[in-house]
Amino acid sequence: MKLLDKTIALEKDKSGSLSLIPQDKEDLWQLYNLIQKGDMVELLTVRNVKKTEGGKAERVHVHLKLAVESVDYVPSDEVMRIRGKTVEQNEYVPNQSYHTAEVQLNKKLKINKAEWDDISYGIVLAASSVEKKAEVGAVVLQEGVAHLCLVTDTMTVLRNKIEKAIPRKSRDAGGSAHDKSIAKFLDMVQATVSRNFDFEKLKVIILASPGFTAAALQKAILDAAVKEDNKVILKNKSKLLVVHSSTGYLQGLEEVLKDPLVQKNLNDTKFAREAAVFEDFQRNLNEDDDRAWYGPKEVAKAVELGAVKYLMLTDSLFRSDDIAARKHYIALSEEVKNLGGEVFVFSTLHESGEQLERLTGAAVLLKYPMNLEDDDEDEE
Amino acid sequence: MSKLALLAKQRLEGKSKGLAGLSLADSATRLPSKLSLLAKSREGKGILGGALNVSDKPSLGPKLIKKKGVLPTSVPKVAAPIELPSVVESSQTRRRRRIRPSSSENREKGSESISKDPPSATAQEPSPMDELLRVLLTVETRSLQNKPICETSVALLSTKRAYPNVEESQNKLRKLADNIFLAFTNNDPNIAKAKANFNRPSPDDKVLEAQKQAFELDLKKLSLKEGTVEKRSGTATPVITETKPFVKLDLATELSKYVQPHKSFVVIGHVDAGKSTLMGRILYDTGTVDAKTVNKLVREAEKSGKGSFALAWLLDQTTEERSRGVTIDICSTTFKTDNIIFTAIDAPGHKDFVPQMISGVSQADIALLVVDSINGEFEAGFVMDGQTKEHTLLAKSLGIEQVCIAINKLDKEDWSQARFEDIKTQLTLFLTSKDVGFHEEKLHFVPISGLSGTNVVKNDRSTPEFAWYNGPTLIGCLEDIKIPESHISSLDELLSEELNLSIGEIVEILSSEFRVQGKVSLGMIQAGETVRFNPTNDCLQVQALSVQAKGEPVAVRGQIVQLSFKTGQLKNKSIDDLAVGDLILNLESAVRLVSSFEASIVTFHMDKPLLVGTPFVLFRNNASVSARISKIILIANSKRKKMHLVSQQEAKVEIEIVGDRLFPVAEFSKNKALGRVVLRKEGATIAAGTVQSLQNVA
Repeated sequence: MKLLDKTIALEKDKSGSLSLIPQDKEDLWQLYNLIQKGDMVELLTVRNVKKTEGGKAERVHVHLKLAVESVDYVPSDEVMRIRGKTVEQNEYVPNQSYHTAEVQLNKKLKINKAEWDDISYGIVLAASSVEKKAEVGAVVLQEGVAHLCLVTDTMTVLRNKIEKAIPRKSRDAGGSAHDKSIAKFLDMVQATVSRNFDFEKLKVIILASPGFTAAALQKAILDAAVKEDNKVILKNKSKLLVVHSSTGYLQGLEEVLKDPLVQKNLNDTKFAREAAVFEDFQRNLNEDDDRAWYGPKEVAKAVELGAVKYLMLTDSLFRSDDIAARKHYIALSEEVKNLGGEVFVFSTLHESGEQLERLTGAAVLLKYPMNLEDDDEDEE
Repeated sequence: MSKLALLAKQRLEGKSKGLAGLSLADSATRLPSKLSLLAKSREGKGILGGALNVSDKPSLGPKLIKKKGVLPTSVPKVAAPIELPSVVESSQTRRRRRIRPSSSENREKGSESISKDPPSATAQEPSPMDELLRVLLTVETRSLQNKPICETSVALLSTKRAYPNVEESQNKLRKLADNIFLAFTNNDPNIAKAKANFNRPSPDDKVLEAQKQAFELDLKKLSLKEGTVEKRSGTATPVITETKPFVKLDLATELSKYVQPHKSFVVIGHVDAGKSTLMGRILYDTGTVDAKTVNKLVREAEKSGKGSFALAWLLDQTTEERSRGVTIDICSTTFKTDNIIFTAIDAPGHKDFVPQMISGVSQADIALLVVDSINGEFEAGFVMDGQTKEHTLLAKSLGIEQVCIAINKLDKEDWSQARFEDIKTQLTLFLTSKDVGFHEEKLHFVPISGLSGTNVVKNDRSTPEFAWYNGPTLIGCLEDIKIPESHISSLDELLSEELNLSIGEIVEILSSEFRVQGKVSLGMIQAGETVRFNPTNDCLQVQALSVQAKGEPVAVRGQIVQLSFKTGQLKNKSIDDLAVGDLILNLESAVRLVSSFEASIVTFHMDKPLLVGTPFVLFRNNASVSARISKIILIANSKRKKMHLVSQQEAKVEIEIVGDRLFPVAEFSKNKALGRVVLRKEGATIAAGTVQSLQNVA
C-alpha cells in the first residue's frame, strides 16, 4: 500500500483524511479492516448510468464520495466492496444515492475518518511500510493429497489442492502400482508448484508432510528443474524447506509454522510470531496454571489488574460496528502497552486467528498466575 | 437366488405373512407396477397407442361425454373395450395439447377416429374404401404433427377465428370434422365391424398380455424370490433397480460353510519391534510363500546391506519402504493353518503412519501386539511417545477386545524368563489400567523370536534356555482366541442386520472396472446385488465377489472381501470421488450423512488443550476427515462452562466436519462399528469417543 498524503490532526481530535493506493490483494484485506461504517471514502468507481430517460444504461467511470454503510470482503475472490450513500452530487449521480464500489488495485482512495485511533492508524503505517513483505509458499501434503498455500502477514490463501487416488501395495501384485502412482502424484504437485509459486519473490517454500513424502517432493521439484533447466528454481533451491507435519490436511500448516526450523527462517514475520504466542498460550492453558485466560470479561479484568503479558485479539473485534466495543478494545490495548505487555491482533484469515475467534476472540497470557474466576483478587 | 434374500425381505415386511401368502402378495402387488413400467417404456411409441389412451384420461371426461352426445350412433362404446393402463399418456399428445389448446379437441377427435379405423381396415378384405381411409389417415397424422399439409386442416385451423363463442366454434368444427372424417365409417357394416374389432384385444393388449405371461413364467422360475422392485432414489440418479444376486444359494449349506473358522488380526507395535519380519516369518513357516521367493529376497536384501530385512520385504514391497527399512502402509494377506484361515494385516509402527495403522485395526478382530524385549528397546517403545502405548490405546478405542502380545527378540535376551515376566507385568499393568481398559483374561503373552522363528509357528524345544516355556506357540495362541463378536449365532441375526462395509482399498483394474476391498462389519453381501456407496451416493451392482482371492457368491459379517464394480455405473464415471473409508451399504440403509454430530469423548494425555475450534483429524473406522469441536456441551465433574478440554477429561461435545464432503456416521447405540471415533492432532491421539446423536443430517 502506498500512503500519498495525510491531513490528520493527530494532536487534537484525531480527525482527518489520508490517501492510499492499494497495490496487492493483501492491501484489500487491510482496507477491509480499516474502513468502517461512518467513514467517508472518495474513490473512482464504475456505475451504470442512463444518460437519457428510458435509454440504455451505460457503464461510466465516476469519481464518488461515499458515506460508508458497510464493507464486505470475499477471501476466495479477493474482492473488497464498499457500500454507501453519495454525499456529493456529480454529473451522473445525484446526492444521497446508494452505490456499491469494488475497490480497484492501483487506484487512489481517500479515506476520511472522524477519529484515527491507534489501531486504524497502525494498520495504515504497517501496510504502507517500505519493508519488503514476507510471503511464504507452503505445500502440505501426504500420499495422495497436497495443499498449496501462500502465507502472508495477514492471510493464508489456499491456492491449489491436488488429489490423486493411490492404490495400496498388495501382497499379490507387489508395490509397483503404488510406486508408479506416487511418482505421478509427485510430478503433478511439482508441476503445480513451479507454476504457482514465484521462487524469486517468496521468502521460503515450506514442504511439509508426514513420513518422507516432502523429501520426495523436494527431489521431484529439483529433478524437474534440472531437466527443464529452470534457472529460477535452481538458483533459489535453498529456499525449499523440508519439515515434518503429522498430517497432509491443511491443519498441518499451523503445526509447520511452529516448527523451530521454520521459525528460524521466519523469525521476524508477524504470523510466525503470532503462531508461537498462541502456542504458548495453549500450553499454559493445558497446564491449568491460571496464567492463560480467554473471554471478554476475563480479559478486561486481567488488563485492569495490570497482569497481562500478551493480549491476543482478533481483527474482527475492531471491525465491529459497535463503536463502544471497538473503543473498549482499543483502550485495553493501550493499557496493556503502557504497562509493558504486548498486544497481538490476529488476522482471522490465519488458522490461529480463526481459532482465537472461536474462543471468543480475546485471550490473555498473564505474567503470573491469577484466578480471574472469583470476585476477590487473590494474587500469588 | 436365495431364500436368504427372501427371508430378509419377509423380515422387512414385518413377518406378518406366511411364505405362500407372501409370494402371492408379491406377485399380486408387484405385477401391475411392473406392467405399468413396461407400458411406460413403450410410451410415445406411436400415435395410435397414445391417442387411444387419451380418451381414457380422466381430465378429458367431460369432452368425451359431449362427443357422445354429438355422435350418438356413430361410435357406440367408444371407451369400453379399451383396457389399457390408464396412467399412460403419450407425451407427444400432452405437448400438443399445451401448445394449441383451442384446436386440440379436433385433433383428439380425429385421432380417435383413426384409432378405431385400423382394426376394421385390417380385419376386412381390401376395398376401395380402405384406400381412401388410408389417405385420410396420412392427412390426419400430418395435421397432428402441426404440419398443415392439406387444405382441410388449414381450413380447420383458420375457421376458429370466425366464431367468437368458443362453444359454438367447437360445435361447428366438430360437425365439420364428422363430415370429413366419418363420412365412410358412419354406415352400419363399418360400425359393426368396428364394434367387433374393439371387442377383441388390441395389438397393445396382446403385447402386454404376452409380457405379463413371460413375467409370470419368470416369477414361477424364481419361486418365492423377491421381485425386481423399482425404487426411486432421492438424488439425481433416476431409477435404481435393485438387482438379484447372480447365484441362487441354499442358505443352510452356505452358512455351514461359514461356520468354518476364520479370523483376522492386525500386527501392531512400536517401530522396529519386528512386526513385518514376524509377519514374513509366519508366511514362510506356514508355507504361504515358498523358499525360492524368500531366498531371492535374502539375496536382494544382502545386496543392499539389509540382510535381516529379507522376511519383512515379503510385505514391504514399495521402493520407499525397502530403502527406508520401515513399513509405511498396511498390507493384508491371508494364510492357512491346519485348523483355521487367517487374514493378517501388517501395520506400520512409525508415528507418522498411525492413520494407516488405524485403517488396519478397523479391519481386524484381534490385535497382535509385538514388543521388542531387548533391554532399552522395550522401554523406548513403552514411554509415552512410543507407539506401544498409542497403538494399544487406539486398538481399544476402535473396539478391539482381544490382544495377543508377542514378546519378540527374546533370543537376544537369552530367553530370560525373568525378562519375559518383567515385560508381561508392566504391560498387563498398563493395558488393564483405567485409561486403556483391556480385560486381563483377554491378554495373551507369548515369547518368540520372529527372525529365527522360534515359537512362532512351531517350537522344536531345541533351545535349552527356552525350556521353561510350555505354553502354546504364537499361532496356536491366535487359533485359540475366541471372538464372540464375529461368531454368527443364527441366520436370523445375520439377516436382520443391514450391510455395512467400509472400504479399505480402491484399485482401478481396467479403465472400465474397479475393485474395492474391505471388511464386512455387519450383515451380508452377495454378488449381483446393487449396493449404495456413501457419501457419494452411487448405486452399483456387485459384479464379482471374492473372499481370500477365491470367488464366492456371498460374504458375511467379519469377512474381508474384494468386490468388483463397473466404473461406468458411477455418476462421474471415475473412481476419483471415492475415498478409502467410504461405506458400502444396502440401498435402504439407515446410515446418514452428517456435517456435525454430538459425541461423548474421553481425552487422553495432551500437550495442549483441545479448544473449541481447534482442528484435528477425526477417524471413524478407516475413514479420516478434518474436523473441529464447535461446542462443548458438558464436561464431567466441572461446574464451569468452558471452551476447552484438558487431559483426562470426559465431555459431551459437538463435532463439526470441516470441508464439503459429508461424513457418514451412525449412533453408537445403533451401530458399533460406525459409532466410534478417534481424534488425533499433531501426531498424537488426543481423544476417543462414541457418536451420541446426529445433527445436520443430509
